[in-house]
Amino acid sequence: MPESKLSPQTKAVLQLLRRKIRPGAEYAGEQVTESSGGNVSRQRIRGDRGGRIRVDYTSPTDMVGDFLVIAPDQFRNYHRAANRLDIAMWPGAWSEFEKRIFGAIRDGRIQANKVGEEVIAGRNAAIVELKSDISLGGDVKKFWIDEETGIQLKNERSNARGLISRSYMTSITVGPAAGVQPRDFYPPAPPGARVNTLFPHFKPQFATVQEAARQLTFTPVEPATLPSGFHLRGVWVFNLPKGKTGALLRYTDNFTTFSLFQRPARPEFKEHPAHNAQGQRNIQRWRVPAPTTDLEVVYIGTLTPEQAEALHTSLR
Amino acid sequence: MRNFDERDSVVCQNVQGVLSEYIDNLLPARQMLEVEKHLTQCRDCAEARSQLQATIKLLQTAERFDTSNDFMAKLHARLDSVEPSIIAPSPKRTLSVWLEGLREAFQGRRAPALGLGFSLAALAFIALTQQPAAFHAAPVPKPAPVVPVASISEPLRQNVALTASNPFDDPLAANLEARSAIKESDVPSDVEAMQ
Repeated sequence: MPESKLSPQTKAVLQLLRRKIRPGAEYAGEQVTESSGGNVSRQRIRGDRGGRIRVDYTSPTDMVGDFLVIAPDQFRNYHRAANRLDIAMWPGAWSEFEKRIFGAIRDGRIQANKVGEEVIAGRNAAIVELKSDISLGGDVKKFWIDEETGIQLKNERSNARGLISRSYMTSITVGPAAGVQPRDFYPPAPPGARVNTLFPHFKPQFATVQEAARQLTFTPVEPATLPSGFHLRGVWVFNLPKGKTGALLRYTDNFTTFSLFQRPARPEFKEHPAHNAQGQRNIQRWRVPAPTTDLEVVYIGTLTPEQAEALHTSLR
Repeated sequence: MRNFDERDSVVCQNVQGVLSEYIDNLLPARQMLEVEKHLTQCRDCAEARSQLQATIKLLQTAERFDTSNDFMAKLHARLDSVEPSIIAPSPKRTLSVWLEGLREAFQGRRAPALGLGFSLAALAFIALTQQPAAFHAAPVPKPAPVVPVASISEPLRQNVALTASNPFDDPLAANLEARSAIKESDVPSDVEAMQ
């Protein structure tokens, strides 16, 4: 549906989301991130009007010195303990996601509504909620967007079981007083750092598991049934030491995604319980029997425990 | 320079997409004037132009080396011993993906496509007519030991990167969960890979 035919409310929400991606001012502040399992980190954040974000971790202790740079065309993740800089380049990825999500909002496949207002870090924020029409997992994404500048002040992610994660600013300075410089988003690799290129090819290498299987040293498994609305986005294949290979299968319903990474199982590999104390675990490891050798399968996603268990059971 | 307007994001994207051609003076005159006008009004795009010009100058003035005959073989040997690498798809697929990317990049933009064509022709001419100077390769340093990144950490780090490629996702939460999962692992090499 063309944007001109949308309701004023939906048009306003689209406008807020556009400004969230490319805010109207630079900013700097402190932020907290909480994820399932009681994990908490704190960061110093800097952002610019192009949507770039620089994150410097201030806690927990073993993340101090780590930094992230998130930009429309690239990603950098420095791990101080390993002195390693991961880099990924993805020209046009944000634009592609923007088109996909906005197209789904215009078509009604994703419901986007302003559901409230709240003051976050001293600034007035509009709360925008996104829900996928087809996601039976009940996935909901909420964004608290500064009404004046479009800066994202908070976000939350939930599924049918409840809150999965959230990040929120605790203090913020907006505009030139934030002291943000373009060079903040091009940090050099620290001395002696090993530079690791992630995903030299951002788009999946193979469209199907059958195509990828020709490059693998094992017979891969894939789910016989998928949660409603999900499809395989693509497969990446990796060389591993000692001549082994691994495969990453990524699935999406165009709103959320989950990944299955698989490789031949190592002798010491053990499965972990599917649920943590909070009732769900977004990273699970399964041992799956396969024709030639047992496989380690790492599931990464936000499906409910029931959906993840069904996925696990159907792997063959 | 004036304040940000929601239409500016689209204009900025368009301008930054042709900055290379603008610097090389390959755009039609009217487009050159439009880009120039935007650059006087937009700090971000002016900064992007400065950075691109600095990069071009760096490439133009960087010292050039000719390599030994076995340079590529040694490079691949070092890469294979240090990092897991993405398996390259078939040459036919590589060529078709590359051509598709070119078509997308130059769709409706004849001037940059012609510019690229001329540049490639020039490079081919230089490659065919220049004689490589003698070069004594520097001693190859001892390769770093194979890092056991065949562990849970590699797919988790990749997942964090993929999460960051979506402006509607939370890569900080993904990063936090990845760290927690690695620390919980029973496999010694998973934890060692963090060190």
